[in-house]
Amino acid sequence: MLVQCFWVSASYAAPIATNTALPLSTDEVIIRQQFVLTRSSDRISGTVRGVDRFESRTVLGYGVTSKLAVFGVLPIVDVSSEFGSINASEFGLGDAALFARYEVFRSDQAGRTIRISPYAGVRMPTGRDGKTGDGSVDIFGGLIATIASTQWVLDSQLRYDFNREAEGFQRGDSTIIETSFQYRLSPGKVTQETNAFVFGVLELSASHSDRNRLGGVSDPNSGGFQLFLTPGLQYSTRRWIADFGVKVPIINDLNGSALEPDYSVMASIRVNF
Amino acid sequence: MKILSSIVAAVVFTGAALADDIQYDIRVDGITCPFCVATSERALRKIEGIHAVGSDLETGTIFVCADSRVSFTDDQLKQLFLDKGFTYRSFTKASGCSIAGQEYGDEELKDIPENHSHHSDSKS
Repeated sequence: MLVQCFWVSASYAAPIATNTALPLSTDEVIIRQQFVLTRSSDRISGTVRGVDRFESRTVLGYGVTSKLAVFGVLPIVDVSSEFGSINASEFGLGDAALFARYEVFRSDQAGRTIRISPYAGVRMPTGRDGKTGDGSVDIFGGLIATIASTQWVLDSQLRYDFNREAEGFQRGDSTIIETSFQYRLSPGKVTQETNAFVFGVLELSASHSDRNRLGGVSDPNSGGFQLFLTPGLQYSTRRWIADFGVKVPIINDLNGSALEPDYSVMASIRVNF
Repeated sequence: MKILSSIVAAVVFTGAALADDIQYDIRVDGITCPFCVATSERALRKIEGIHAVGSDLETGTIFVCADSRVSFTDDQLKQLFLDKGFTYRSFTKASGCSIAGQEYGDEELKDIPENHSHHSDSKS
């Protein structure tokens, strides 16, 4: 399946590829536009096999209260695949997601905070089945912990994706653990005139996916374990945040002949209203 | 001569208006980045009578320059920052404003001028 390259974890109102527990204010609206290009390739008996997946994700977040925030994610997907001299491409709406995040713990000090927030959501089959989406209604949820100061921020999350069957295909469930460390590179000292921060970002993401099932039969060339490292930069102002990162695999331990990712390039901008 | 009198009158009037301004230094915990403080600053700017808002993230202080129409209470500020997702601690009030172009460090905050009055709610 074309969409079966690899899943870059959805990043909503977050560092680069991880999630955050930092709050949205009551009635605050946040819009994030994220672009992700993923290249996966290998050689089978000397023949090049590759998939380029470009995803444009529009994320809308709304603070219902200062503890409860809801998010919607609408992806547009462009997938190009090649196997030797055979090429194919698909373009269209991907699978949209809706989720809610609720803050259960907060400890604030001057210029510091600790937040813990569980979240849960649903991914809907708005993409074309087997082309830009997988056709099923999937459920996901997790727990995010954030420790933040004016000098550095640490975000960690544990996430589980419970994937359901549609049209005989069921993507394997996945478990993801992610950590993002952001360190303020500039300015050296925060003053009343400081209007923007530049953060250096380093993210680590480990994921395990079960094998997919097709017609009730387990696909031996799917699922497995992956570990990714994402170095990047983030520029944070009062009104908007821009970030850029490159996600590279450290460990690709996928089952059988599953196509392994080479890298992902990610860029995004988010604005609050 | 008439123009000169008008300028002198305007300068005297402006000086009087500035002298009547009040500066509130509001201590708020949990704010860690420019993006985080933006919604709180915007909410304060919408209040009639507030001329300027600034912040020092390191000390967790939001500075507000307002005229005499503005009068904060602890309960009011507690609710305002609760809605923004942060924890209000206390405020000080002083006549005259000096927000723009100043750097506020810990020492300056401890050295509160005598004409400041102080309000606080006890730390949770």
